[in-house]
Amino acid sequence: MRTTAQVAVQRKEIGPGTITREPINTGKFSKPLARVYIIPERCKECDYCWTFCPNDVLEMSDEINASGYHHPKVKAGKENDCVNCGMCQAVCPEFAIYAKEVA
Amino acid sequence: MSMSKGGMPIPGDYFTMGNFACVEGAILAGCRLYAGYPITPSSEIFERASVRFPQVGGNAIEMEDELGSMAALVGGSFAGAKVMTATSGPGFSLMMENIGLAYMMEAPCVLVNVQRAGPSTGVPTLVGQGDMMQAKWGSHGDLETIAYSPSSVQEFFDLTIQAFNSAEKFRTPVFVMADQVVGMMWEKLHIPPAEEIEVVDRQVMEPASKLDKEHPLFDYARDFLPMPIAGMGSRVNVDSLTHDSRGYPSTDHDVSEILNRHLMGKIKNHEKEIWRWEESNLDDAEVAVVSYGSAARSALAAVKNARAKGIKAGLLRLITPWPFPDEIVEKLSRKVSGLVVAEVNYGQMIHPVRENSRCPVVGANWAPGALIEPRAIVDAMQAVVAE
Amino acid sequence: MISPQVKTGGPVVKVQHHVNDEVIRPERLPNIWCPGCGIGIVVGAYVRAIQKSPIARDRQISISGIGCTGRVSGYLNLDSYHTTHGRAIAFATGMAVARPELEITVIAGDGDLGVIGGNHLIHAARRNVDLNVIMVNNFNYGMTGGQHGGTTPLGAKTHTSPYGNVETPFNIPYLVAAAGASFVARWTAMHVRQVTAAISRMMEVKGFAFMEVLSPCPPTFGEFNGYPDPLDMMNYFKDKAVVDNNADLSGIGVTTHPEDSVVVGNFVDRKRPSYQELLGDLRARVSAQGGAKK
Repeated sequence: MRTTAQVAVQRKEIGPGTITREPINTGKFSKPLARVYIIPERCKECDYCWTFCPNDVLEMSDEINASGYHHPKVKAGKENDCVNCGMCQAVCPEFAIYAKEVA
Repeated sequence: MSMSKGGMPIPGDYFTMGNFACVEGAILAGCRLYAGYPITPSSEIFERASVRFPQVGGNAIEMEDELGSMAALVGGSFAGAKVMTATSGPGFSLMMENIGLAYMMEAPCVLVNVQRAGPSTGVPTLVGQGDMMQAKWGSHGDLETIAYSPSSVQEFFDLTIQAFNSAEKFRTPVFVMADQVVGMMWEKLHIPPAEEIEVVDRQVMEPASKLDKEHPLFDYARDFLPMPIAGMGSRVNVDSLTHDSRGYPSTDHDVSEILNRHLMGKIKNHEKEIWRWEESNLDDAEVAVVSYGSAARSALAAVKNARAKGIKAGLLRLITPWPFPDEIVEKLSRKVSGLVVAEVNYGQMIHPVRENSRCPVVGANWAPGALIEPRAIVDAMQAVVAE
Repeated sequence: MISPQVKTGGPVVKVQHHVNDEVIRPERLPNIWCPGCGIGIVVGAYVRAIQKSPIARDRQISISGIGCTGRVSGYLNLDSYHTTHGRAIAFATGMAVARPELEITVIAGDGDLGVIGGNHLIHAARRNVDLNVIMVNNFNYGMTGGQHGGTTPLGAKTHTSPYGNVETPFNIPYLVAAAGASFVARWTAMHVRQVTAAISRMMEVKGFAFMEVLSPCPPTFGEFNGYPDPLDMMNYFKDKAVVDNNADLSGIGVTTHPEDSVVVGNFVDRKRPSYQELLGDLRARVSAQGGAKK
């Protein structure tokens, strides 16, 4: 398993020489994996969930709901990147999105 | 002689002030929250409530203004308490906003208006009856009103209890339209034993878990609905906006019509049981005075004086100015050749009297901060008979 | 350990119900608020604070005033009260005195609580009535179409200040702290976790617990003041917010100028006897003395 720092270097989020700290008990924990659920009819396309998702998992979908708003979708290739941080749920003014850990 | 010894009112006969009698009546009716703002000539009610309510486990709180005190009453009412405030003209004006709220939310509460003279700040220490129309028409929108008008210290006590009972039954704000004379007058008060006093309590809504979800929360086809009380699990939205049978705001025409018909109908459909009046010397009367509150005391003297002069006079005293006892007035107007409406204002209750009368109606009006003199009422009787 | 071969997050799943639906009235959604309005975020934070709270759900009471934020109560599956403009705190005071065991939260707007209801706000803080009060501050009267109010920044344009607002706004946390509240905080709609945490703390605090939540109002305030898109104001909060729990409150007025920072934090958390406690003491004292006034 790669460390968070190794992932970050690979993603070019930090340079290869950056000093990072890793917990010494990483092995005890696993990165959560979550699935994103939406209630499309409540969405008003405010842009918040896909803008503020810390893992950049979400984007605007091409589909629209009855009110004409584009709801969010998971980006292609990001299906396993939601860590259930809860940001999309918290920042959504509409109770239209949440994530739940995959059992 | 103490009326209470620091507890519940003790049955017996006392010499006391109208404003004090009102508080003892409220305590016996079960009122335990007073939210007020001091104003002359009602302040003795607040002062006495401040002494008496904590003695019986209640609270008398002072709000920052009458807007706040009326809003606090509605909140207290939804907490399940019987609530009251007392005020006078300027405070009554400020309360109008949340009187409408209490009416719309169907919150039982009692407002005592110890009326004083004049528009605006007027004459704070002197008598008036200038808020009678405001009681009916003061808050915006169409409201049906229940108002009692006491003429004596005893009646101030009795009608305060009655006001609570009507508020609880009809789930609506109820007014006790007293005035400075009745409020500050000292007279005999008889406090009956508690078991002889009828006390009505509101129906309370069941918790949501026990409610039948198939039926509307508020069945507006019925006049009397159980009240959701905060913290008891009924989980109801109570709204100042026009709301549907689930309590949700709506702009639907039918919803508005149904709600307004319900709010008015629950009073209008039962007005005959609310009406209270007193007749004096009406059996053979050829001319009658219609009056209420302290003015009715002058009117009664005027009737006696007129009879001494050979005028067959009588008195109809309105104990409930609102809802207006139209049939009673109409029946009387068919019997007599003229009606005089005696009030300490420049002509307010004369309007519904005239609207419902089949004979000439004149006003006996005098409102410079003094009770109308019997002589002026007799003069008006002679004038109406001559018409 | 995760083995992606057997477990995958997958694409979004479209569903009918939300995990917070038990605390709201889902049949009333979508709500009436404009896209990007911060009020919904505050409602979400309140709902999650309720879900985490040990307080019995039936004792949680929501009271709101009039205006956009006034609509909050109608979306909550609680005993909820939508009262008159400015009077939510006064209404709540009566309820709190009559039933001190209730956990009452007033959620209303800046115009409602700070302007037409300003007198009730400062006096409830002075009395230290045990209430939670959340002011969603969107810097203008939104429901009526965007007029300036007591929190509109100096110079800001609204339909009633078309040449720029000539009034100096209230610095709300400074005002409420000076009036005597037990707890005073300010966060923004961007600070979603801090808002939830502050509400949880407010439910524990005995006394007047107050939080101002700065909120985007894209169509009526943002449109005329450089933040037309919902994201504009959220990004402003994200970029310019400075957390300082020990800030000198006299200097934390909000300008919404893109260069100016917004000071946020839990500024005040102090022990003062609540109004309900003092009234309870009074009743106990009177009862012990057999009704004597001494």
